[in-house]
Amino acid sequence: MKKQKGFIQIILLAVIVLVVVGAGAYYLFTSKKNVGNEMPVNTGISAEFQGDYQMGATNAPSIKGGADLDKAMADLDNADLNQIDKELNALSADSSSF
Amino acid sequence: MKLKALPVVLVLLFGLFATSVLAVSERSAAVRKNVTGTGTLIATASATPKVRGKSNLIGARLKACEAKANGITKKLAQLTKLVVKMEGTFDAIALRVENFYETKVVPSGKSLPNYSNLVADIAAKKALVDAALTKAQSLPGGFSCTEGDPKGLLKDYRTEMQAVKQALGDYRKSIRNLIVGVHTLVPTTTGTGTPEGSATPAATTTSSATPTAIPTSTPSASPVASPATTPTVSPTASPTI
Repeated sequence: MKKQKGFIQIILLAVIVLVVVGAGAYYLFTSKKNVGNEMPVNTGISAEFQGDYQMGATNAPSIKGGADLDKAMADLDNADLNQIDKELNALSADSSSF
Repeated sequence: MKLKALPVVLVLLFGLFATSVLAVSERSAAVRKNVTGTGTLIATASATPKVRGKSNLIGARLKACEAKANGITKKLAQLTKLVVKMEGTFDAIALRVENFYETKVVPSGKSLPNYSNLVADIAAKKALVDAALTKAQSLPGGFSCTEGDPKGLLKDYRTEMQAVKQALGDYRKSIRNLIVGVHTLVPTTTGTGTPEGSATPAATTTSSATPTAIPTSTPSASPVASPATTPTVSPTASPTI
């Protein structure tokens, strides 16, 4: 009877060790995978637009090397700020009639 | 004894309610007093349609506004989405470049002398974007033709959004400066991974980065010298190992 108890304890210990090792390995793997893909957080953005903020962040390139820096630079340059003016002009056109 | 105390308690409770009601009505009176010479109400920046008062639009102008109201509301949301999305992209790039520098470049023994200046400049510009965007977001407060000064509100919104555009442009420049700086330490390679190669990356660097103004108090430490400099690494930016 006593022998059986000891055996169960060993099994339990082995399971716990396995779970801990597995969790550690998973954490290491995911944290390594996320390097260069970190997501920013901006609590100043209202909940209504958080999805758009996250979408913008997701579209940004991951930075893992020199080539990625070039890509990031290109993405920055491609952001068309003049689009804001276009939208504002459309709004002005709408409000011109009243 | 208990019976005598009851009227006193009731009077006190009545006094409490009466003062709070008076305070509310004084506040609404203050809002109503906000009348211009022509008898219209000024739509304050944070005012929601309910506290803006009656619209200054009447007749055909009101009808024209109502006909466009849906489109205007959609455009306001669309514009905010556009700006927020851009900010998300810029934030992610800045964050990732900073993390890349701190987790890959610095451990490899290289560093930028003006890194803290560049990062501080990014933070300052981002704060400006956030402030401008918050102000712009508070303006529409639910566009309505029947309350306040709809046209004036859109004019104010335009001004605020142009401030957001300016702030975003400055923020982008700051991030570019950081990327240019980090790129002087990390040459473009076909693969990805930790920055490798010689300590003097000038021979292999093929950065397409074009320089912009560098916000630093130590000009000699800036990664890029001037706009005339080729996009490759400048001699003053050799990494410190």
